[in-house]
Amino acid sequence: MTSKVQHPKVVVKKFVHADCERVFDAWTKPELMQQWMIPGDGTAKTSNDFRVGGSYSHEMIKQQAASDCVGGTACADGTFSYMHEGIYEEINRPHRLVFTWNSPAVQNTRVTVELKAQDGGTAVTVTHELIDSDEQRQSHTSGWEGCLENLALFSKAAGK
Amino acid sequence: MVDKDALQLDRVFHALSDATRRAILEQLAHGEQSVTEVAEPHDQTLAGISKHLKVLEAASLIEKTRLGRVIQCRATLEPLGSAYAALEELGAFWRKKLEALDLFLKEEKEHINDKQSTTSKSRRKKIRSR
Repeated sequence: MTSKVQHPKVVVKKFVHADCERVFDAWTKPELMQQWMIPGDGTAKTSNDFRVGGSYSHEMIKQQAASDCVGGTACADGTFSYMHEGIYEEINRPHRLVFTWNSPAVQNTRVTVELKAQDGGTAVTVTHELIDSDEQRQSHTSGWEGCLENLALFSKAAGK
Repeated sequence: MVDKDALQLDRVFHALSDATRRAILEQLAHGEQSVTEVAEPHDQTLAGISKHLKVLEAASLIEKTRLGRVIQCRATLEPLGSAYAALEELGAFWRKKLEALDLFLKEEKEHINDKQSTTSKSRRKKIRSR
């Protein structure tokens, strides 16, 4: 049964000036993630167990509570912490990376990163979507193949 | 205030995260139905459907009214707007991060190029001094 009430997701695309291998590293090595996946006025602490089923945690630390960020935790030193964590579901170096994403703003979501060589660089596509609660249960026992295809997804290309 | 909004959004996302609940919403988008009518196309017990309706109600995506013995359900889809607005924010978040990624990779490349050009310069110097 396909439902017209859509399963929300957002798609963002960007061309970056490095080859797929390097971009894949930047997405998966904590010491590199910490250098770009940071809030505008802050830093990040990252650790991961990089294997399918392994978890990651990425804590973004802002100097000030930001009005555009929901649900940060105030720390004793006056900074604000925004914890992002999840599980790696698919690792296909250097083209595809899928992980769950739980942050103070959104829980039970999935991020799919796709990398495609293009014009001497890499076309990056990030898809951020909600996970079906049924699907989430299945994830612990079986793979994702098929589940995704069966979903009626709301698709909105946020990037132009 | 922000926390309250976040909680509400969480409920909407949770409500939308299930295929049956999305199907129910779609049914109700076409018009009011009683709980029995809602349950009719689904291969689930009435109790199961009631649970789904409770989740939708908690997210303010439906309203229930009692007409005698019958409970009528009506879709109130306004909260969907704020859910999609939140997705837009996520989109903005990733656009910013991908900009930062590109910048990081470019700087890294320049750094490597600089290093290489300094080593080749010093090599040249060495060659010249020989």
